[in-house]
Amino acid sequence: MKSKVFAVLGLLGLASVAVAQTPTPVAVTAASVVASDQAVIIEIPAGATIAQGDLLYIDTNNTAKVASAAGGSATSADVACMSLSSAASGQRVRCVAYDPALTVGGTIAVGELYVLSGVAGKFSTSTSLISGSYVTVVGIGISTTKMFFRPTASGVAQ
Amino acid sequence: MKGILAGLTIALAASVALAADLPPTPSSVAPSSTAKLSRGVCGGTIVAGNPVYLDASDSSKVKAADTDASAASSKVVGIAIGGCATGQQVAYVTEDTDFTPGVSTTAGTIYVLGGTAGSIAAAADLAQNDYTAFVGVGKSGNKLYVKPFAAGVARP
Repeated sequence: MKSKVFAVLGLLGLASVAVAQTPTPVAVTAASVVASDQAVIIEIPAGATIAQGDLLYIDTNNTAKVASAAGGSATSADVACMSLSSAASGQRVRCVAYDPALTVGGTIAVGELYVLSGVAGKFSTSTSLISGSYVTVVGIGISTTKMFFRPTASGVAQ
Repeated sequence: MKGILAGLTIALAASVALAADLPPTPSSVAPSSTAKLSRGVCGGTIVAGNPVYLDASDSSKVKAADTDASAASSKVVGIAIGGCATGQQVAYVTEDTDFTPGVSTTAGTIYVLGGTAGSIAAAADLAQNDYTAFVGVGKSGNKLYVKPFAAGVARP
């Protein structure tokens, strides 16, 4: 009996670790990402394949690539903008660098702080960051669909 | 059983109430050599280390910001690097990659405005009705990456 109890407890422990290591980003519908009239929009060449709604950083070649908190460097976590269109490498991509009312294409919470996720291009709540992730705040939810978007990369890993 | 539950409820309530605001030790506050600074006129007493906002209803005077009172007072623009009384000038940091905030910080922790005017707190301490205002991210035990912004919305 004891061994069964310990086995169950062990499995529960493993499950909790697995959950802790799997940040859940906000699901984004690409076609629903819309900048407001107050947005600051830039246009830069893509350095890789980019989907609408991806969070992007600018690499040393001045091309945009998909950002990640778990990419292993502060550079790839330094979010510059969110893409407003898809692009293949070499094509130009429009992206929003600041927007007080960005429609993010997913469901978010009012007053919640959102950060760059460990899943490339995505964002998640600030409580879902895991050890080793670079902390980049991307904005604050102002409604269930809109975010005060102001990416701020600290360059610091948790 | 009821007694135990009541005790747990009280303990939980106490832990919420005790969400740790981090008031600064003014003498320990220091910007780095690369800090971006701004300046304004004090609209009340401020000490070094207080997050501040500009009061649009009072000639944009610099006042201590907090997360509880109103959307306006949560719109943090920087952290004071000196003290002042009403009418005096004060300088504040608007961006600093290596700020010494005069409080103990933890690397990788996100800091927001605290409920006590002029304090910061860990983002995990945000509670219902707080206006979420980002202040910075801890870099070490006494350093903070600072680049504040606020949306002026409260958590439901």
